[in-house]
Amino acid sequence: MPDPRPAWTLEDVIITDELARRPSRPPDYALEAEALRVLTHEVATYPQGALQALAETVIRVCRADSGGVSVVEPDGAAGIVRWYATAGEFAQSSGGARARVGSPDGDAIEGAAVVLLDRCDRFYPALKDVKPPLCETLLAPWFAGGERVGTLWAIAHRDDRHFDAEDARMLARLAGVAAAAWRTLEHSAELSATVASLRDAERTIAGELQMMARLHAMTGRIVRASDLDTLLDEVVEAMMELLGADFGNVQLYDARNDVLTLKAHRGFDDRFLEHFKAVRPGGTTACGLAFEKRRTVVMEDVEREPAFAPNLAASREAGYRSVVSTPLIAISGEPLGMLSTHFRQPRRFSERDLRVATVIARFAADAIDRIGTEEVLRERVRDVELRVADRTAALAGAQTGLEAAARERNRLLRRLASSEEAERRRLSRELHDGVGQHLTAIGLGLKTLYDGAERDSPVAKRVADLQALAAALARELHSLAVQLRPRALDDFGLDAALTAYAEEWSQRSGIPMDVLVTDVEPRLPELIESALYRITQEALTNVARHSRATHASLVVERRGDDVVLVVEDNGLGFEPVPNRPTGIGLPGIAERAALLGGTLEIESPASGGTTLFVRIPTSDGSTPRARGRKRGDGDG
Amino acid sequence: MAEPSKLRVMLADDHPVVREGLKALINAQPDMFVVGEADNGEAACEAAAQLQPDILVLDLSMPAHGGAEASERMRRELPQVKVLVLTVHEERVYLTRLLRAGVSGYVLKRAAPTELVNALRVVASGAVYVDPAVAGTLVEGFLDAEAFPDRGPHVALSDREQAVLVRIARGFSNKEIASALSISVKTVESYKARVVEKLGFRSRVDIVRYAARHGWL
Repeated sequence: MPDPRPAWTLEDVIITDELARRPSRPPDYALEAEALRVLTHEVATYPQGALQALAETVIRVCRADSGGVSVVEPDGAAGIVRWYATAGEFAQSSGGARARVGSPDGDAIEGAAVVLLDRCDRFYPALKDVKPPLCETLLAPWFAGGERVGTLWAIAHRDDRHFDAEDARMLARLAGVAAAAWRTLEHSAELSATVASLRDAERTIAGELQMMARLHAMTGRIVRASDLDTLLDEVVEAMMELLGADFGNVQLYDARNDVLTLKAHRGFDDRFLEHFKAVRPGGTTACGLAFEKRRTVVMEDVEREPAFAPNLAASREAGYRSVVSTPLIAISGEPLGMLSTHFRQPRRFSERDLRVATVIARFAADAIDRIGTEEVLRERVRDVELRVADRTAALAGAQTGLEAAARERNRLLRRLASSEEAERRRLSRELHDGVGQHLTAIGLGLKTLYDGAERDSPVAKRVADLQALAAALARELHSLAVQLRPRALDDFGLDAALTAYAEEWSQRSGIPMDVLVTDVEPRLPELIESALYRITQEALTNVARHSRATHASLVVERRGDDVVLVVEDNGLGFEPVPNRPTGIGLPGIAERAALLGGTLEIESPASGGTTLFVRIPTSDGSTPRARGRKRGDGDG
Repeated sequence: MAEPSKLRVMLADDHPVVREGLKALINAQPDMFVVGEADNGEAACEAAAQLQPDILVLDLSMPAHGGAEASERMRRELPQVKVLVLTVHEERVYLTRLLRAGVSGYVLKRAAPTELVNALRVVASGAVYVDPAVAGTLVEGFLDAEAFPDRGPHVALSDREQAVLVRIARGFSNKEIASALSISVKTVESYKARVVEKLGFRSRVDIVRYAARHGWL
């Protein structure tokens, strides 16, 4: 059918002027006020529903058969007009869109005021067959932030219904509400996106922080573990807790027999333990493979691992489907064993899981290494002591041999002390430079988040809480590191380290104290410095615990070839019996001094107060301190 | 560069994550920005000579040329660049050494999120900024150093009193002093108590200082 050219122009269908001529009902300000109040409330409480409420209000206050809100959306050159909300006869048409050019609501946006159209389908071919018919159409453009955004419209579908000036006035007023609702909507969408991204970040950081806190707790426990069995139990427990595992075990490598031997475990029954009691490196198991490759091996589901097949009977019996095995490797590169955790269900491992496994394995390996070294040294000390005893019986007269053996014993004990200090120093640095740095980075990240969040919002408060948590953790970490080994002792020597310790002690105990450390340049041998520091710690701990003193003092001086340390308090005093087993730390002090060929003397006059004298010879076979040495001598 | 009115900050920290955090924090401020970064003290000094920042933020414990050497070198070679030290160390000795080395700011790492930006502004204005958490120890040390010189009036000591005092100052126990002077331990104790009371001493430290000032050691 040939397209009949429209005989009508736009000017023909615009009859806005008629409004001035038609009789009109009087302005209904009460109705207007009530409608605006309801709509404003809607905008404020539920902006998503405000445009629909607006369409419905148009029907009511403009006495229309259909009403709606159109919005221009960019699409091609001119854009499209979408019906965001409709009510009345056209209620079902909500969401529909048409080209902006050639539609009455599209054209009305271009104007500045309300227009009234009469049978507009005569000019707009696209509206030709619309039912019910568009008898009169009243349109009002609306703006937001100076931009033309949309049109508010009212339609009369009946011949006898004519809009009047009051309907036009009401529509213009409602168009203003449309603009407000639109801006609120835009703003709230933006806001909820921001809040969502902040929440995400907050969750991630809270998770990280929680993990740091657990790792922190775990490293503390490992540092304190003094024997291998306790240590291995702690390690298995920590790994299981951090990964949420159902089972866990540690195997140590027996190099002589080339076999991994189970040393600690949790959750397994006897049959499993029998099957996995001793595992060869390589082969079919996760731990064997991981050990051979020197890296973590993950089996997300053992039932789907062809290589694992020979062990399926045992794994089914034990009830696990998934396993992650991480090798324990000493700083020297020597493989020590395996750390494995197991899960009842098949499981995927995140990058973070693997990172946690690696960190724990590293800490565990360091600690196993340390305890191993200490045990070997202790073994040798015992060995020598046995030899000393033997010789005492056999060679009562051979004084020289005995003295050599005693020197050997002292030498080994000194090495034990020195390896302990080296380990404490290493851990202290690890805490500062490793974990501490990460905490600093988290603190800085939180600050940026906080600055980006809205003041006083719940997110800002949570972030502030996390900031406080991170700062507290950092403080605790620092004090743990100093407790392990004060860096000032390495960097500046005895005077600075003792002064700092005494100040901190005074603050903690509430007992004022004077410190005088003189003549300690050139620096004393490292072993003596460490011993004097530890002795001071033990002595002052006693003062704080038992003496009820109101004042204390510490003097360290060189006297000839000796260094003399005197700790004095004005407290209760006691009957000095250095070897008494309940001797509150005194045997420890005596032992440290004796190890370096020194002596401990205690005086406690009846009038009160206690004075502790420690003398250590500075030339007792100890070599001059090597300047700038970073690590203790592990083997020399 | 493009924004001459803004404070130009350079970062030296061996930890990339920390550096990123510091950079984000500083660049978020309207009045400052990061002009360059380095991951050790030596590189920091060289880059600073090129970039001429207003302030260098320096981590104290970096491997190879830590912050202490770097701040000395900065004072020698680039005195116009102010140095703000970032550190975990809270002991006074670190603070005093660095202040002597000429740094203008000292901020604890754990306080960096809240303190750093403020500290940068203070340092930029020409003043010295010391983290409040360690500023207290500086004052204490100052007061301690002032505390001694003359406690109590000048009093003449008897020969015996002086002999006991000197031996106490030299670190001998009462028992040793008693046998050296052929008197009883009880007598030594009472001499000591008398000397302490006469001179108004607070502790053994005062005895040692007194003896040293009189050249008896």
